[in-house]
Amino acid sequence: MSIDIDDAVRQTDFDALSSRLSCYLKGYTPQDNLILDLIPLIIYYQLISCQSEFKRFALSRKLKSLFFNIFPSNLLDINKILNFNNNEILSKINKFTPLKSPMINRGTYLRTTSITKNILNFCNKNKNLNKIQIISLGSGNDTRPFYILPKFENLSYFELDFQFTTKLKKLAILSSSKLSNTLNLNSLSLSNLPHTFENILSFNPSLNSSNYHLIPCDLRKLNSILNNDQFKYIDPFVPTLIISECCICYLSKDDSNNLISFWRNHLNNAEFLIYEPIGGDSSNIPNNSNSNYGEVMIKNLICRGIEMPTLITYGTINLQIERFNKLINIKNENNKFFDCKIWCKDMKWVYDNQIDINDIDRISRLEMLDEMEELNLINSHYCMIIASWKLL
Amino acid sequence: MDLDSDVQMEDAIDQHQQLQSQQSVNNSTTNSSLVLNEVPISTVDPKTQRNTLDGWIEQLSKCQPLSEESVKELCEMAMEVVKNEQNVQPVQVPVTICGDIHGQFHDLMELFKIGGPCPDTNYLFMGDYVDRGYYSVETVSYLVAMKIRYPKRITILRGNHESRQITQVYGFYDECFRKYGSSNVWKTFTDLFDYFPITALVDNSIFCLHGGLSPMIETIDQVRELNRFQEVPHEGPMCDLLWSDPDDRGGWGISPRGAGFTFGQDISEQFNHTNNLSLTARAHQLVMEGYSWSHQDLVVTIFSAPNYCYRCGNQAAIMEVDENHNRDFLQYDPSVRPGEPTVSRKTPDYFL
Repeated sequence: MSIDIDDAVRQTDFDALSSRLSCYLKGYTPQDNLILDLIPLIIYYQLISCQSEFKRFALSRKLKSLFFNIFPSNLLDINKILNFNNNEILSKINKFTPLKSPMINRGTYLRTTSITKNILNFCNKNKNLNKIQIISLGSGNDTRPFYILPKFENLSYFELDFQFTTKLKKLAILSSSKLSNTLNLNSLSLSNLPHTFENILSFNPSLNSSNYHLIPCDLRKLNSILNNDQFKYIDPFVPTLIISECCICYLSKDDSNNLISFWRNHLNNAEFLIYEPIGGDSSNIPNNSNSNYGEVMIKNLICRGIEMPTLITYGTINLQIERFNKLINIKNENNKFFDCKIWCKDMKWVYDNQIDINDIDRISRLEMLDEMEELNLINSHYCMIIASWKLL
Repeated sequence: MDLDSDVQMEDAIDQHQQLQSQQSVNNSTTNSSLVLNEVPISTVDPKTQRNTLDGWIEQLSKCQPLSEESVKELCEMAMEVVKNEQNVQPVQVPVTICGDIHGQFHDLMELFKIGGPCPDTNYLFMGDYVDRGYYSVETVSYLVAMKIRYPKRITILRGNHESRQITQVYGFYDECFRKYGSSNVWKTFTDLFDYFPITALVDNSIFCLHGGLSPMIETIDQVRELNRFQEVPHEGPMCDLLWSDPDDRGGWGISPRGAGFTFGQDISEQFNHTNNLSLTARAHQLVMEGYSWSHQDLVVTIFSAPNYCYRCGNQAAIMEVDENHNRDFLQYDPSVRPGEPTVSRKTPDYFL
């Protein structure tokens, strides 16, 4: 993989962030209110870390439009950003604000809500234990730690991503007392934070509080995790939830499976929670419209420089189950015995079976969605996997 | 972070303003040298051409939008044609029946290649010309121009997307604003949509409409009594005709779309029997093969936008009905678009 491809993958985090902002603004996810504090700070540090003036200007236009032009215009003045009045921003949103399409909003809501629900299940079933952990792979600018960490005193939250991503997130968190307080951190005064390209370049991308850790690493290089100073904070013996929300799908087949096996070997009592696209069944080509979806997706994403190497390899629920049976369902290893469970469903199933009917009713009123067939088609090409193992 | 090659909305508007000011200075009549991501709006005055309407059609067939003034004139002419058509517009065989197009202009051209050129072939379109695709303006302008040119050869019904409310959410409004710098063209078209007929009856035998049946409509005569000259209402018979879907469950059901109803085979049997119909043909739903039978061949769904939204990977289809009422489905895939650089198209959204 070249640097450019890494950059394209990193940019998918901004797509997800933009989709989540759209969902929040439309009222799908009211709990995600700190997203309004996080985004302008991320934009600010992203812009400051551009070396060229011209690129900074062009990027500023791009980012403003990616976030629907809802933030006041000067995003290079951090004092102004910290004084943004969120209510004022919200009051300017109307039906002409070009947010994401209802289909994308509904799918983003489904993804966000169902993953959060599984995280809360994990935390709640272990809430009487002394310590539990969440490891989020390729977490990017996920806002969940801000509202999940304060709810569970026994929880430690680890976010792993490219160092440039963790650096910007760290800077945003430390700039805002609102953000840092939720993570048991104190914000820094602006004068103690870097505001030039050079200073940001040399800024340390790691962050540790008593229960929150940002770990810069390259998930394709297991040594970059193992040899990281912060790795010592991860306790291999406590119940751990490992999240991959559209993360390992960007890795090659070998890299992703090695990463899964790495955690399977290192932790004694853990579960994977994975959300990713599945390209469909390609076994009956030609003219199998079922796999066309995946083929079209691959072609479309290549236009953006994004590869999803396992989209077809693990293109169906059965192929995913087979994959995790091989990687996780190892009941006896070196005379250690494990209880293992593998579960996988597509997101249409999750939508029909796991989302509270009252909440479906609530979101149905937010905006008209006239394309159920398309939503069902797309949802049936994403899946949720839970794969757990426990030392007996 | 890389800058992608999508033109931002502000840039597109900048370009148009530049373009327009440049043209007013040069009084230039062509703009082929300014090939940017958006096709420039032509300032060619159609009246100076040999044949106004044919000039428009020629320009539109190259996927070049008309000027705002021309659109206004086009829609006024079209209004005169469609307002005199009936709520249940009679259509003769042979005819080729088509479903949703959704701004996929190049695929519409492919449709005419597969089905044969108009007016050699008669066409009946069942709505949803705009929204979703990137060329709603060109698509609907072209179909409306063809309607004026060959009023007896082509019938264009109204779909649920031919409405002010839906087009503000699903792209046509934004596209008009981006291509013309104001919402005037959107207003002109949506005013015209109020006059489109809402159903058609092929040889007193095949009932054609965009969505489906309504619990408030038992006979085709009841459709004839509706006042259709209005925005698509949120509820009631006209709304249902444009929004409903057939369902495996019997009877009437609440539609997950939030408008219209679902109707079962018992309802279709009753309706077709009461009105002496052999078939109800409708569009409105993505079907992966381009057409799909339901209710034991009493209802057929036709969808004519291949690889819908540039994302779904589906085939498209049209249905030919010949003089003897034989039916034949023609399926097709997305058109190959030579000369259209892929970078000019925005990558469809995914959950990433």
